[in-house]
Amino acid sequence: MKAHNDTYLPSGSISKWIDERLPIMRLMHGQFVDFPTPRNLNYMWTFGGILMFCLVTQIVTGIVLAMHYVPHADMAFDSVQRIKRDVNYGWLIQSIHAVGASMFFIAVYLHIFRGLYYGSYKAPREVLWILGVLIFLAMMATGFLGYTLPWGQMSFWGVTVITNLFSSLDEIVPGLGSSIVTWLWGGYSVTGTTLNRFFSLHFLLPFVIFGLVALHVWALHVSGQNNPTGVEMKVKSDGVPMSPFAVMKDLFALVIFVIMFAWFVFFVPDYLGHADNYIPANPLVTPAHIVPEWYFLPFYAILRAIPSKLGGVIAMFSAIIVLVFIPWLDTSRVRSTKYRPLYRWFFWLFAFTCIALGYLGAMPAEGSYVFWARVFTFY
Amino acid sequence: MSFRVLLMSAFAMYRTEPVVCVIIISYIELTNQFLRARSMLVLYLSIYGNFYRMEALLASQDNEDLTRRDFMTLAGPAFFAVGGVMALWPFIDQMNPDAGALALASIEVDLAPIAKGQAITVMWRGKPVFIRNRTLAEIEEAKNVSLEDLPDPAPDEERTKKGHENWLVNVGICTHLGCIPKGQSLSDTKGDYNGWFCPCHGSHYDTSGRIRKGPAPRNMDVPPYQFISDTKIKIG
Ligand code: HEM
Ligand code: FES
Repeated sequence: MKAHNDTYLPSGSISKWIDERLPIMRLMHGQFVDFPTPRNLNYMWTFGGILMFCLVTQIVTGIVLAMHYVPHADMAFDSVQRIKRDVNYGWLIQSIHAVGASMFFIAVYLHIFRGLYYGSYKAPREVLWILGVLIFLAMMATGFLGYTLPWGQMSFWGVTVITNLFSSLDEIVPGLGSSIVTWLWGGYSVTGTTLNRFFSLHFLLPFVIFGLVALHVWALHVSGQNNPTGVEMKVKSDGVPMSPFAVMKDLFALVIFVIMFAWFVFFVPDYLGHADNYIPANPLVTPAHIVPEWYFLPFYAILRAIPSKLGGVIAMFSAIIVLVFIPWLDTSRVRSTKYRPLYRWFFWLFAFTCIALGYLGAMPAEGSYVFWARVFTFY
Repeated sequence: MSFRVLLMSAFAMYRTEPVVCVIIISYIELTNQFLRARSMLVLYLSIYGNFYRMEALLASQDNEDLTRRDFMTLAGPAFFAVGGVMALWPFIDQMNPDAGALALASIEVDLAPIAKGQAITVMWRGKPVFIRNRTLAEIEEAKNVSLEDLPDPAPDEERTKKGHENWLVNVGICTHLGCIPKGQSLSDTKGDYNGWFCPCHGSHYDTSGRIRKGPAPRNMDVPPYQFISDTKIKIG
C-alpha cells in the first residue's frame, strides 16, 4: 500500500492534533489523492467512481423512503403512492431511488464487461474480482428485495416465482426445497410476513455492500489499477497522482451519467418499471406476463429456456457463479483483449448474446451455448 | 437455576471428562424441561470451551503434557463451535411459520350453486383452491388418457372421490414456480388439454389437473377434503 510518496501536510493545529491520534485524513489523502493511477486509463475506468455515487444515492434516498414506507400487506402499496403524491418531494426521492437501481445496474454491467475485456480479473487481481462478483450478487439480492416493497402485482408474483426457484431442490432431496421456501415465506404462501422480512433485509444489504466495496477498494489499492494495455506499471512514476488527474476525469464522466440519470428521473420515471406494478398485489390473479426488472432478464431467459425445472435453475445460477472462476478458467497469459484477436471475437459475441437474451428472452438455448463455448475457448 | 449452581457445575465439568458431563447435565435438564435444557446446554458449552482454552494456555506454559494440550486446543474451539451453532438456531427458526400461520384452518364449501362446466376459486390457508364441476365429456377425456402419456402418471380416479367424479378439487397453484393457472372463468384460455394454462412459463394441465406439457414437474396438488353431504365439502 505504501508504494507512493506521502504528500499529506496537515495545516493548522487541530488537524495536526488529530493526525497524531487517528491518521485517517492521511490515509484518505494517500489512497485518494496521491494514489498513482495509470496515465492511459480510458473512460471505461470511470465506472468505479460512478458506482460509488450510485450506492450512496441509493442509501440516502432509501433512508428517506423508509421514513414514510409501511411494510404491511394492506398498507405498503398505498404508502408508496402516498410517498409519490403527498410527501414533500417524495415523488423526486422515490423516483431517484427506483431509477437509481437501474442506473446502478447499467454501471455495474459496464464495469464488469470492462473487467472481462481488459482481463482485470487476472493475477494479481483475483480477490479484487471475486469481491466484485460478491458485490454484484448482493446487489441482485437487494434489487430483488426492493422490488417487492411497492407490493404491486409484479412485486408479488416476482417474489412468488423467484422464491419458488428453491423448490426445485425437491428434485434432489424430497422436501428440502419446499421447507426452504416455507422458511423464506414464513407461511404457506407469500404474505405480509414475507414483505416485512424483505423490508428488513432490503435495509440491511446495502450496508453489507458498503463493507464489501471497502474491501474491494482496499484490494484494488494493493494491486494497483490495470490499464487498457494490460501491461503493469513498472515504477510508480509511470502513473500520475489520482488527484487531480483521475478525479477530474471521473467527475466529468459522472456529470454525463447524472444527466442521463436525471433524464429518466424527470421525464420517464416509469419507463424502466412495469405497468402492472400499479395494480395492488392480488394473490388470486397472476399477471399474463411475469417479467423481472430488466437487469435480471438475461438470467431469467436462461431459466425459461431450459425445459426442466431443476435444470433451468442450475443453468441460471451457474451463469452467475461461473464469474467467480473466470480467473482460473482463462489460462491465457495476455491480459488485455486488445492483443487477443480470437478472444475479442468471443467477447463481443458474448456481449451480444447477453443483450439478445435480455431483449428477446426467446433464444436462450443458443445463449447458454455461446456462453459455454466462450468459457471453453479460454483453454 | 441460580447463577451459583451454574458456576459450580461449570467448575465441576471443567475437572471431569467432558462427554460424560454433558450427558449427565442434559439428562437432568431433560427430565425437567426440554427447552430450558437446550438453552442451558448452550451456555454450558460456551463456558466449557472457555475453561478448556484457559487450561490449554496454562499447559502450554509448563509444557508438561503435550497430548493433553493438543486435545484441549482442539476441544476448546470444538465446543465453542457446537455451542455457537446451537445458539444460532433460534435466529434461524424464527423465520419459519409462526403459531398463527400453523393453525390448521379448514373451510366448508357449498357446491350447490356451481353449474355443470363451471368452476369457482376459494381460499384455503392462503392458497387458491379450484373447484370444478366437470362435464361428462371432460371426465371422459380425463379417464381416456393412457398413463404413459403423463409426465406425472396418476389415474383420474385417484384425484377425485368415488361417486363424485364430476367434482375436481385442486390447489390452484402451478407446480412450476407458483403462479395461478388460467382456466377458471369461461373466457380464459384453458390450454391445449382443455384444463388450465399457466401463463408464466407455459405449463398445460388437463381436465384432471394433471401436467401435460411445459416446465411444471407435478400435477396440481389435491388438498385433503371430504364430502360432508352431497353438495357440501370440507377442505382441510
Ligand atoms: C444497493 C442499494 C439499493 C438498491 C439497488 C435498491 C433498490 C430498490 C428497488 C429496485 C426498489 C423498488 C422501487 C420501485 O420499483 O418503486 C426499492 C424500494 C425501496 N427501497 Fe431500496 N435499494 C437500495 C438501498 C436502499 C436502502 C439503503 C434503503 C433504506 C435504508 C432502501 C429503502 C427502500 C424502500 C423503503 C423502498 C420502498 C419504496 C419504493 O418502492 O420506492 N433502499 N429499492
Ligand atoms: S409457474 Fe407455471 S409455468 Fe412457471
